[in-house]
Amino acid sequence: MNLRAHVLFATTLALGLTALPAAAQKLHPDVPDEGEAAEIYAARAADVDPADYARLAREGDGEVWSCASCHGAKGEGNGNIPRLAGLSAGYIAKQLNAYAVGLRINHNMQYVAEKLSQDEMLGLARYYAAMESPSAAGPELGGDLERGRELAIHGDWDIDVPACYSCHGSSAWGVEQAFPSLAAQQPAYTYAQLAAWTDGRRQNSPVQLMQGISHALSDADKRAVSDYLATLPAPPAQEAPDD
Amino acid sequence: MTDPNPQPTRDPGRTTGRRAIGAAIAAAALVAVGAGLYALGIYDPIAQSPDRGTHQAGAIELAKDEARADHLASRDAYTNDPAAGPPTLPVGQDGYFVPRTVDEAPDNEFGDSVRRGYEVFTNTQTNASQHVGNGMNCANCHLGAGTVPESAPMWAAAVEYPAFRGKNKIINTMEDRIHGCFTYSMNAQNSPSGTPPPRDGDIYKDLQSYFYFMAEGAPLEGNLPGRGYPVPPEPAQGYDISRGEAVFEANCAVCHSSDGSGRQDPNGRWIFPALWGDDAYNWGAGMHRVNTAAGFIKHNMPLGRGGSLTDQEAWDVAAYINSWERPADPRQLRDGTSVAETDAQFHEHTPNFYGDVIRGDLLGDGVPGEPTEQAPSTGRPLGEQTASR
Repeated sequence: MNLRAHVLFATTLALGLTALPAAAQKLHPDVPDEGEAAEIYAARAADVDPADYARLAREGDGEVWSCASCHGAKGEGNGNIPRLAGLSAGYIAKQLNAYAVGLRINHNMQYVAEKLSQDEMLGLARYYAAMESPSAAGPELGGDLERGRELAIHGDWDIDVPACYSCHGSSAWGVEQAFPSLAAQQPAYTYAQLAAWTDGRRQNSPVQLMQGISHALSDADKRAVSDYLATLPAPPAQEAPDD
Repeated sequence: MTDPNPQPTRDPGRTTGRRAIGAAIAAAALVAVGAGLYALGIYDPIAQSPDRGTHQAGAIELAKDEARADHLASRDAYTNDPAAGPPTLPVGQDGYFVPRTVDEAPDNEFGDSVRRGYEVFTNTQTNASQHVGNGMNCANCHLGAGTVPESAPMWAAAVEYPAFRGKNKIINTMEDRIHGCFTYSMNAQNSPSGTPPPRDGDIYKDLQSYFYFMAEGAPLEGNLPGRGYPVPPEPAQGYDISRGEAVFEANCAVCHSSDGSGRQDPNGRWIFPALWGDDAYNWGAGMHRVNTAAGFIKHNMPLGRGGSLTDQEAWDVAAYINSWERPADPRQLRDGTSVAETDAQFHEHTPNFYGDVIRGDLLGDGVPGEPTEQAPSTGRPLGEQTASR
C-alpha cells in the first residue's frame, strides 16, 4: 500500500469507530429504545392478562420450553441465569424483544424469544413482575463485600461511578419500569452483564448509562458489587397479581 | 502388507526440524511485533486489562491520600517553625482540592456534628423532613455528598462566606446561605413546618460542621478551581426550548420522566428528583436560571456521564427544563406582589423565563401545591442502617 492508501484506510477505520456510538442511538428499527422504552412496553402490557400466560411460564409450549425450567419455579434464578421475580414488566418485555431481534446475545434466550408473540412476551413479563419469592442468591464470586457495599451506597466519584442505589432505588428494588431490581440477583448473572457492557456484547442500556459505569469498574469491583447485591433482601412484587 | 505405491519420502527429521525453526522464528517475530504494539498502547481501547479500573481508582485514591498527608506534615512543620514555610495545598491528580471525608471525622462531639451534617446533606428528605417541601436532597445538586468538583462542592463554598450577595443585597453568613437553600431549592414553604429550619438550630450547625471539616487546608476566599457550576460559554445560537426538548427526551426522560416529575422507588423515596411541577425547586432557586442549570448539567448530567453533552445541548436542555411552571417564588408570596413586579425586582438580570408567557401560560404564578401533611414516609435506606460510623 502506498501512503495514500494507508491514510485512506486509517481515515475509514477512524470514521467507522466514531460512528459506533452514533449507530447505537437507534439499535433496531422494530424495538423502541428511546429513554422511556420500558414505559412503552409496560403500557402495552396493561392490556394483557398475566394469568393467561402462567402455564407458558411453568410448562412451556411445544418448541418454547418453559421459563421455569431454567429460571426456577419461583423465578429465583440460578448460577448465571437471572432472577425474574420482582423485575418490572416493562423491563422484562424490553429484554425479551431485545433477544428476539438480536440486540441481546444469548443463544438460549434468543431461541425462545424468537418464538414468542408480542402478547406472550408482555404476559410473561407481567407474570414475573407480579411474583414475589425469597432470595436464592448469595455471594459466590469471592468479591470484597465492603467495597461492593461502598459502590452500591456511595459509588466512587474518583472514577465517575454513581451509587447503584442512586438509580436502582434505596433498597436496589428497582425504580419504576426502566431501572431493574438488583437485590437478590444471582451474582454470576450481574457480573456477566457488567462484563457484557464492558466489551460491547450488551448495548441496550438507556443513554449508555451502564456502559460507562461498567468500563470504569475493575474486574474486582464487578465481583464485589455483584456479590454485595446478592446479599440484599429480594424485591417485593412490582404489581399486585390481580392488578 | 506393503503399500504397492509408496509415496516418495523426504528426510522427515530434517524437514520437520526446518519447519520448527521457521515457525519458532515467525512466532518470535509476531510476539515481538505484538508486544511492541501493546507497549505503544495501541490495543488499550479495544482490550482493556480486566483490572485496569482498580489500578486507576487505586492510583487516584493513593494520590489523594498522599496529598493530604503532605499537607498535614507541612502544616505541622509550619506550626512548629515558621521558617518551614507555608503548608502545601492538598490537590489530587486532577489538580482539584482534596477534601477530608466524613469517615475521617474525629471521635468527639465535633465529629458527631460532622457526621450528623453529612446525614442531613445526603438524606435531607428524612433528616430535615419538617423543612423540605419537595422531592429534593442537598446531594441531588451537590454530587458525591458535596465533594465532587464542578458540582458546587461544599469544600469550596465553606471558605466563601460571610459574603455580600447580590441576590438579597446583604452580608450572608453560611447559615444565611443554607437558609436560602431551604427557602428556594428545597421549597420550604410547602414543607410540614412551612418554613426553613429555625435560625441558630442544629441543622445549620451540623451542616456547617460538615462543610468546615471537609474544607480543612483550603485558603479563605480561595476561588478554588472546581467551585460552583462552571457555566459553559453561551453558544452563538443562544438557547432554544424546542431543541432542548429533543435533548431532554434523548438523555433525561429515562430518569426524570418525560413530564419532568421525577421517579420514586417502591419505598416511596425520591430517586430521581422532579425538575419542574410541584415537587421541584421553586422560582427563587438559583437552578431556575438557564445559565446556572446549564453549568450543572454540562458537568454532571446524565449521572455518571458528566461532560457528555455539548455546551449547546446543555444550554438548550436547561432552557427546556426551566420553561415549565414550578412552585411560586416565596418572595412574591411574602411581599404580596404580582409576578410582573417580582420579575422586575428579582429576575431581570439573569437568563430565565420567569414572568414570560410560554405555551400560553404565564410562568411564575406557581403550581397549586398543598402543604405536605406529614413527613415523607421513609426511613434510612437499608444499607445505611448499619452505616453509622
